Amino acid sequence: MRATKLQTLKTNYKFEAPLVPAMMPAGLSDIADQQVRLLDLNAYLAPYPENIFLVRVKGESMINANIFDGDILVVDSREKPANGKIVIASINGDMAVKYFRQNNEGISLVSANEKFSPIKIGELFEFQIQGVVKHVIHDV
Amino acid sequence: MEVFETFGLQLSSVHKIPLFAMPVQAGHPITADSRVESEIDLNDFLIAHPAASFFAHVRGNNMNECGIADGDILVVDTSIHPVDGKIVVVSINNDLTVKLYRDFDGIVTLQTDNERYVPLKIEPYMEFKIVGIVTKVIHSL
Repeated sequence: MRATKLQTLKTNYKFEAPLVPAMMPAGLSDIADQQVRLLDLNAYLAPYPENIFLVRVKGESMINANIFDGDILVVDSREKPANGKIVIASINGDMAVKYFRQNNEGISLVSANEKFSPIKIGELFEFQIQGVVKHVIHDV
Repeated sequence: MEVFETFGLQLSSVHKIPLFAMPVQAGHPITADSRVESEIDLNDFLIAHPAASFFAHVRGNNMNECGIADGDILVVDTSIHPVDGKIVVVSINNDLTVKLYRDFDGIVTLQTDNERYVPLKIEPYMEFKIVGIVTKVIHSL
């Protein structure tokens, strides 16, 4: 599964999405929560926008993690990768979406698809973690 | 799968976000000096019809095969007509639930993963309403 960087988020703005009964689509207001609720999409998806970038994924190596071809990933470039996290890594110039695994034997990048073998990071690899995936957005 | 929270949205001012071209180069941190290709707005990007959309926070595991997991937030568009194979938010007896909409030659059924073989067939007497079509699934890790 390869990744294509889509965009970087700009800072200093907020999108607030309050539940305003008058704004609710017709027919929904009678069944939706009557209380005013706020959903700030940016605060939710990108609490520190300067650290966030988006990538569009290509490939099927992460399908068992519910990451499909064409999905958009919200990635935090500052978060330190922890064992078991899904990360964006560059390996010899290619970008990849993989599980990050670290143990006594070193680091390996593991797919969520049994058809793909784990990649063991050796000294031959030019390797860098670009960020930790925080959210997955897909079309249905 | 049930909807346990809904959030409306408000048209706010337009905010442009730069879209960067990504040179895929070894060792280059991709957040560094990338070239701005264009600017897009995150709301435009995720919500096609803001005036007719809302967010639904869902729970349950019977839509996993459709790519919707427990705790996901859905963008629901109320302005699109359902067609076969779409995932819809349905109000049945005033409860909002998430179902797969199937239409075989005018026979409409609503399914979840565990209703694949015994789907809920829509009959004229049933009190239900298709509230909207799910257009995006936001899954947090």
